[in-house]
Amino acid sequence: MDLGLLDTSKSSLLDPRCHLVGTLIDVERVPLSELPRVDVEAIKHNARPSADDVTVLLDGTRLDSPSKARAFILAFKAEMAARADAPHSPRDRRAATRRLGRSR
Amino acid sequence: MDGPTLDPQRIVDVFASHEVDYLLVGGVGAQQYGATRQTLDIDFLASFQRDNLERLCRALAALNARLRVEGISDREAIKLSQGVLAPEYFQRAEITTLMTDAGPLDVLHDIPARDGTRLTFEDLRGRGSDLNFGEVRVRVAALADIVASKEWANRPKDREALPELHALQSTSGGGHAPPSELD
Repeated sequence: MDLGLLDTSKSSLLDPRCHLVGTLIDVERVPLSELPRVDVEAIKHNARPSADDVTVLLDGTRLDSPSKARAFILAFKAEMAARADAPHSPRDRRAATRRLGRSR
Repeated sequence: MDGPTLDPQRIVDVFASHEVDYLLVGGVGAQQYGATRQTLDIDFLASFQRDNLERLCRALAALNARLRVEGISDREAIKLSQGVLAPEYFQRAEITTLMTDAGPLDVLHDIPARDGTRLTFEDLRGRGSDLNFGEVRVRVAALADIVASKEWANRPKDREALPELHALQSTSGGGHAPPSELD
């Protein structure tokens, strides 16, 4: 009988699908052809979708569609504009208050 | 891909003239060690220190950089990107895919080691090499680090590139990255 073998000691194989495969092999000795299809290469290398053709933010947001990119850019520009309008320091705020007082 | 084709010499020349502190990685980095495989874009890690990001943004402005997003035309991207490529933007970006007047360019916050650990410019700069790139000197990541990032990414294009890179590594003594953790 053709049996599959997996080294389940590796942390990269701590994937629910691999546990299922390991259990089937250990307990039921299921032929390889009957095992669930698992992308072992992807799990082994902890692969993720190709990222170098898409902008990814540090919080994990992927700008992988026009709508996501447009929404992010608009929000970022609004944030930058708000920062530019806001007084930066107590001295700036005092100066702004004096200017406001003189204009009244 | 919508936009100009890659002119890496122009990009490194502009970065040099703006004194950007960066590390060349990816396919163009591998070419500096003798790899022959062609690549569509140029990838680099930058120092994310504020003053360097300001120099980077000035260099990118000189290259008319704009975000490169699938589904958005180059013309729209130019309009959308106005005022976006500031230090504050790069401080929150892991990977930025850009189009420039000298072709596609990716700014990376880090690249993976062989075990997936993320390595930044500061981690990798010391074991890179200063190599001639036309008339300018460019800091290039160690070949072993470029190979490790491709081994971890393991995309079809990486698997295509790796046999040649392994051969180059074996003739060059392996570079300076930590020993392989792969079986």
